[in-house]
Formats: sequence, structure tokens, C-alpha cells
Amino acid sequence: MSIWNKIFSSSHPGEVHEHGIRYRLERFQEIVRRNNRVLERIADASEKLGGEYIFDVQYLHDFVDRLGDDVRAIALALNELTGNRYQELLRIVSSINDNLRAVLESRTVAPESEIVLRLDRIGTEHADVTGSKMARLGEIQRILGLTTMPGVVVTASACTQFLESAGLEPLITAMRNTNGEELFELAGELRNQIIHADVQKWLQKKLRRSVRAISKRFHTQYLSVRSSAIGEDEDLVFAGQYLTELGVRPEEICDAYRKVVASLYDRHVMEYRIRHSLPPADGLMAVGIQVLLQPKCSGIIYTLDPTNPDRDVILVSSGFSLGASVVDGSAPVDRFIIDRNPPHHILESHIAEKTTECVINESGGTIVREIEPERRKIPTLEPGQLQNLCRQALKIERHMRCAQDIEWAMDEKGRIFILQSRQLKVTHIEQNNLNIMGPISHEVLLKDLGEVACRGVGFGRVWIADNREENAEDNEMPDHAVLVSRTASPKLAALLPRASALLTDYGTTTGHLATVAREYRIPAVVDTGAASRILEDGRMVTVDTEENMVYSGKVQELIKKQLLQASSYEDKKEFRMLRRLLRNIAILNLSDPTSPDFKAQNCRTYHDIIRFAHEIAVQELATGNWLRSNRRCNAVFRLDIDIPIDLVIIDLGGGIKATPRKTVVTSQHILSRPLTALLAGMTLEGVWKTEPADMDLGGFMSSATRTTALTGPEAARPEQNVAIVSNDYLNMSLKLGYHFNLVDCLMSDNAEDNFIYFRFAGGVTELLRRSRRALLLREILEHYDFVVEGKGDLVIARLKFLDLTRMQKKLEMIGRLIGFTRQLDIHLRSDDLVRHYIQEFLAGSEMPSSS
Amino acid sequence: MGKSGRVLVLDDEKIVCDRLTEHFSKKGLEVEAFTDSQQAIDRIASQDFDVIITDLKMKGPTGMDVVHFVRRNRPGAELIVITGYASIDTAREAEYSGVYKFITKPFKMNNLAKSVMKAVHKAQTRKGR
Repeated sequence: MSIWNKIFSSSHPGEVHEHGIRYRLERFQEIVRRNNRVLERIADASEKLGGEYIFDVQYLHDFVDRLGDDVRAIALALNELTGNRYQELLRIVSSINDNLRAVLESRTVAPESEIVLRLDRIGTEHADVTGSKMARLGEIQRILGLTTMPGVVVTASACTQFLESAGLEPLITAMRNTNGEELFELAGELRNQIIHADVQKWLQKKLRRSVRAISKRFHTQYLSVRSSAIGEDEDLVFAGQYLTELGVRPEEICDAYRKVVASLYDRHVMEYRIRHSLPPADGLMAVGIQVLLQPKCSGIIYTLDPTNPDRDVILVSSGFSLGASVVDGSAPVDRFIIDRNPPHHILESHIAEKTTECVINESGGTIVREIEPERRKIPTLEPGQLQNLCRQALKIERHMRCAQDIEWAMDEKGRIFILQSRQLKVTHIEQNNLNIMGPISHEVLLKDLGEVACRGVGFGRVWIADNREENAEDNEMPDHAVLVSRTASPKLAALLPRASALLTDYGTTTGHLATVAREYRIPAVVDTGAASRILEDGRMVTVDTEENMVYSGKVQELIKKQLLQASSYEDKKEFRMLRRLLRNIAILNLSDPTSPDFKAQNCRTYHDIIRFAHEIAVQELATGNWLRSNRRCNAVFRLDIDIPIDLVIIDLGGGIKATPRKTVVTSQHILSRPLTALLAGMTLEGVWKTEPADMDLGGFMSSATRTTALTGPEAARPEQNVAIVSNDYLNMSLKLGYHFNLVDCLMSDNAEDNFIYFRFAGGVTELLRRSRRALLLREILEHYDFVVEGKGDLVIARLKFLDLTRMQKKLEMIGRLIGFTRQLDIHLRSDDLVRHYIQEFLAGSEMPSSS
Repeated sequence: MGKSGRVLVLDDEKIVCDRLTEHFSKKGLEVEAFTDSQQAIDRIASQDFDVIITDLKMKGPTGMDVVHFVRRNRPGAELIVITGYASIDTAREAEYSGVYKFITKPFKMNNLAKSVMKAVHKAQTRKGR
């Protein structure tokens, strides 16, 4: 006898034997409730990064405290629900919490990460493990496609492990508790011990393997080993305070690594930290290992004149060979002043008599040698090379959204390599003058409409996403366009890295698109109500979200001000802290429940933990296994309905109209709002095709051998179609033939609490056809603004923050979709049919996509 | 471009002072910011401001001390209280002391700016400017 029959066979249906059931359901609901609250808190905090809000350190403390309470409670509830199967989650929560505390106390702690990362695979989001210097370099290569010296980064995690296993922690702790000359003496001792410490065998192996790979691939004998300190201010990171070793031979890599790490405790670094109220004993070093070529020339480029930003010029300085003399100003170098505007005419050239150059020494390291007299007055750069350099520099400037100070090198073939890029520092007087600006004469197109999601200034031609027909020639958004859309559809997120600003008619500042805009620091205004109507496609505009204005044309004064002021808030201590906190909190690594890596021990952030807990909890509920130990339950009903779904309803309260001693109810008895809405969609005329679908031989053979197990390592098969309901809540597991639908949603009066989670997997045919159905589902759900993920035949869709009317419509659509796709995989014999059925479903739609 | 109002900002968090100074300066206001409440009180004693924006909880004289000092010595100025430690009681106390606006952190700069512009206008009207 199945568990369901046992429940229904109870002689006293009203009798309560439900403590276990109710308790577990409460745990489940707690997971759902807190999961939503955590996501809201994360969205709320991420909104603060947009620059529109004033917050202080106390806010960050409160945020971390409340979030930690919720995530810990979720981990506990999941264990209660699953018989303590996921106890390691609690350890991970504590470990993340320790990292967050360290951030709040301005301590530098390395998040868990790989020991070595390839430079071409990192970006600014990796700054906590690679240091901002290397992270930016990676981004310049990965996103902008510019050339950097190939290489790897040995992460902060490696540094932590190196220092720990060398037994240096007690010395570092002693330094934390001392000051004055004694501090410098301890630092000297620490430096000495680091330089002479054994690099652990596993780390040696990794370093040597990386170096071998670089040397072999790029046929180089020499490397540069560069500092990339973690979590410290830009001046300390970039101003040559730490060591960079040039001309390192592969066999010397461990020595060079130790020396660069030891430079964390150089006296001038300690003095700098004390002067700038940074904890003097704290610091972590990531180390970049890159190919070192002997360049023809190298130098520095400023994308604006820092002492006179009103001039529309770029400044370049350049010397022969390695750039040491350009960086430290120790020898005469060529200087060029170039027009910022294309084609970048050279306005002034000052060709110096260059007497010395720095080159790689054959036996390792570098040497300074005299330049032959006949070469001394030859310009280091030709006009075409200068123009190429300017184009690359401006590309970086536009991406980084502020004027740049860039180190570069060029080889004999004229190829340019970017060595590092940082924000250009403007003189203090100029900075103050920036606050005073005259009135802007450009036509105002939009003013004070909507909510600012990210502050800043961007310019470009308007590109209205809604105007694009699929497969049309103008489907591709040009780089640096001002992206305009009626809805804040998550689908647009992929376009944001190439956009210069974002304007939407609808949407919220905590929505997915706004969050991504902040991640890429794209100036964004949502919920303008009219942007897509008022702005013409292709028109050049300047978007100033500092003042929430959109101007016609290119407003030079605003653009230049932004270039000089980009970091006016972003570099403040509190913003840096919040960014670091969110890296430990908001990044989602476990996004694919079908992956073998979808395991508790792989959770690295709070977001991973709540996603994992929610997924497991939903599956746990769907199996019905948890009911086995609870034989009887009041408020269990079987639904009498015209469609063949054989549904059992468990009412948690307020979901079913009181019907004494009745175990069979009809739709008339249902008070649960979400179940009513879902059934309304499922029972629409024509939705539920009852005739059996024709199956061809391929589909038939597949169905004969296919098991009904759900996709995913943790998934299990539900025994019975079940809906757990209350007045505003629904969790429904629906197995229809060979596939499985799961709907989990809250439909309350408060739109902020509401959400829909829809999961679909399985099917009767071979994987290709099931995948086609999944593709169809994904496209339809995205059309209705769901955030969709999954692979193979699995689809997971999420949507939240909808008011009652919108919830009603979306749930009706889901109901219709469940019926529509019931046997659809059998029909999907070709990819063309996917499009056909999508159109068919959308044509039957009773609501516009923006609803 | 002329200045359209004098504003004093007092908050022991430097980031608040820096950001408000930058934001209000762009709006054409003349701004002085202090992280030390005694220094702010000394400045208020010697200089007339249209609007005084103060944090509530600080070391030394508290925000309410500043409010009372302003009420006694600069009755023409409008007061805006910002705090991360909002409670109904302090809000009421602030209201009873004739505070123009009570704002809880975190808050949107533009919202505060709108209140400040209205408060400047009110103060200047009262002063007959």
C-alpha cells in the first residue's frame, strides 16, 4: 500500500497525527521564506553599489549580521528536513561568516580559490584572489581583446597557504600587537624568513608547471614576476611600492615568488600603510607570472592631461627597450601630445636624446646600457604606431569609465602589449573645479523619469531592443550603444558589457538587469515609463544618471567630467568593503543542479548555500519520502477535476474551504490563490489534449528504455501528484507520464514577497527531442520575463516581485504551458518545429509579454 | 555660477561628508562638512547657515545637542537629522524640536537633496532673502 493510500485509509481523517509533517513543512517554508529574504537583502545591498545611496559602515555590519542569521537558519532547516544529511553546510556558513568579519575589520583574507589562474580567464570580479592589478589586466585581454603579456596569477590563496606552512603566522600576529621601531624590526625579520622559507613541494610543482607551460608555448626564456596585492588602495598597489622582478629565468621562479611576497613587509610599504591608516601587519600578495619579451620600446600613456583636463589631448612618453627609465623618470624619454579625437593627429613631438636603455641580462635580471650614438635621436614610435596606441588606450578608458594611466610595451613588429592600467590621478585643484559646471545647452530629452540603478555618464547612439526582429540585419547591437528597452528583461543582460548606458520603461532597481548594470558599472535608469517611446533609434544621446537626465548629442563637458571623476564614490572605503562582501555573498557558483559538482561541499558563497538548500528542499518535498514516517494527516484531500492529473492536496491552512469529513474536493473548494490560478490555466479549453500522441519508431524505442528518474544527481521520483497549499502558497509536484513539473510559489498581497519557481525535467523520447522541448520552454518562459537556467532536458525558471494581478497571469500561463507541453517532445521531430510550437503557444497568449 | 544657499553637514562618517559635499556642490550650494560635532557647533556659532544636516549619534556632543544649540542660537536655520540608528522616540524628539526632516540611513542622495533645496528656500524666505 502506498503512503498515499495509507493516508487516505485513515479511519479518522480529521484526526491529527501530523506533527512530523507540519514540522517538516514549516522547515521547508522557512527555507523558502528566508531564501527570498536573503535574495532581497543581496539585491538591496547590491543596489547600494549604484552610487545613488548614502550608507555607512554600520549598515554593512547590520547587513552581514542579518544575512548570516538567515543563511545559518536555512542550513539548519535543510538538515532538519533531510535528517542531517548536509551538516557540512554549517561549517561553510561559519567559514564565510569569518571572511565577512575580516572584511568588516579591514583585515585581508583570501577567499578560497584555485592556486593558479590563467590571466586570460580572469576579470575585475577576481580582484579578491588575484589583486586588482592582474584582475584588470585579465579583463583588458578577455573582454576588450587587447594584447597583454601571456601568463598566470598565483592567487592570494596560495600566499596564505605559503605563509601558514612556513610557520610565519606567530610573527605576523606579534606584528599586529606592536608598533614603532619594534614593528619595523619584526617586519625585517619576517621579510628575511619569507625569503629563506621553503616553498611547499605542491606549490613548487604548480609554479614550475605553470612556468614550463608558459615558456614552452611562447618560446621565452625570461619571465616577469609582478606583485598584485590584495584589497589595498590603488596608490599602494600601483605606485611601485611592491617588488616586480624582470628577467626571471624559469628555474628561479620560487626565489622570485618569495621576494615578491616578502615585499609586502618592506619598510616603505609599512610606513605607507601606517600613514594611510591601513593595518600595517596585514596584507596578502597575489603574484603575476608573465612572459617577458625584449621590447623595442615601452612607456606610459595618459588618456587625458592630468594637470589640464580641459585640453582634449593624450600624453605619451616612450623610451627604448624596457620601460624602467620612463616609469621612474631616470633618463630622457620621447614625449608626444596627441589629439584625443580620431584620427589622433600628433600635436607635439619632443624627441629626446636617449642615452641609456634597460634590457634583459642574458644571465637573468636586467641591466642598463648605453645607447649607440646613432640611435639616440631616433623617435621610439612612428605616427601610425602612436595612433594605434591611442586607439587602444581610449578603448580601455571607455571600458573602465575613467581616464587611464597605462603602461605599455611594443615589440619589433609593432605589436602593442598592455602591461598595466589604472585610473589617472588628477590634481586636487582640478578635482575641486569639476564640481562647478556651467549650464548645459543641449536639448533635454528625458528628465527625472524613473529610478537610477547605477550612477554615471554614458553616451552613444540609441539602440531600442524592442524594435529588433529576430534574424534581422540590425539585430546586432553596436558597441557603446545606449541600450533602450520597454522591459527590463534578463535577456538583455548579455548586451550590457558592450552598452554605454541602459534605459528601460519598466523594471526595478533591484531586478536582475539593474544588478548586472551595476556589476559592469553601466549608468542605468529603470522604470522611466517612456524612454523607448521618446528616444529615436540611432540618435546620439548623453545619459547623465548622476542628475537623471538624457541629453541630445554628445555633451563633452559631462563626458570629460565623468572620465576624471569616475571613482568619486566607487573608491571609498565603504564601497570597496561592500564590493568585497558581495563577492563572498552574491556570486553564484552552483548554478547547474544537473552538474556532478552540485554538492554541499562546493558551496563557496551564501548564494551557493541558499540555492543548494532550496533546490534540495524542493526535491525532498517532491519525492514524498518525508511522509513515510507520518501515516495520517488531517487536511489531506483528493481533487476531483476534469483533467487527468490525480492530484492530492495537503492544506496547511486557508487553502481549502472547510469540508467536514470530506476527503474529495472540487475546484469550487479551493481557496488557495496560486492553485486556483494554475488550475485556471491548466483547464482552459483546448489546453489539455487528451488523445494519445502518435509516436514514431525513434520516440517509441526511447520510451521503452527510458527510466522515469529526474535529471540531476540529487533528484528523485515523486510517488504521487501532490499540491501543498495555503491561502497564498503552493508547492505542486506533478508527474505527467514521463516528465515532471514542479511549481513552488507565493502569491500574497505583498508583491515584494511573491515569487514563482518552476522546474521541468524528463520526457519519453530521446534526449534530443526532450532538449527541444526544454528549449521551447526556455524561450517561452524568457518571453514572459522569467530568469531561466538548466541544460539538457532540465529547465528551471524563476520570477519574483509581482503583484497579485501579474502573479495570476503568470501562473495561468504556467498552467497552460504544463498542459501544452505535456506530450510535446513526441511531436518535436525537428528544430523547425520548436519555433512553430513557440509561435503557437504565444499566439494563444492572453497577455502581452510585458505584463 | 552663484551659490544659492549655505549648508553645513555634520556626520562622523567621512564618506557621508564627502559624498554630500560633492552632491550639494553640484547643485550650486555652498557646503561645509564636519566629522567632529564640537567643531561644527563652533562653526555654527560664528557663521549663519540656511540648513544644518546632522547625524544623531556621535562622540562628544550628540546630534540632539546640535539640534538644541541651533534652536537656541540660530532659529532661522532649518535642521535635517540623518541617522543609522532610527527609533520612534528620537524621531519624535526631533519633530518636537522643530526638525525639518528626519532621514534614516541608507538613503537616496537625490531624495535628501530635494529636502535640502526646499529647506534652503524655507530658511531664506523666513530670513527675508
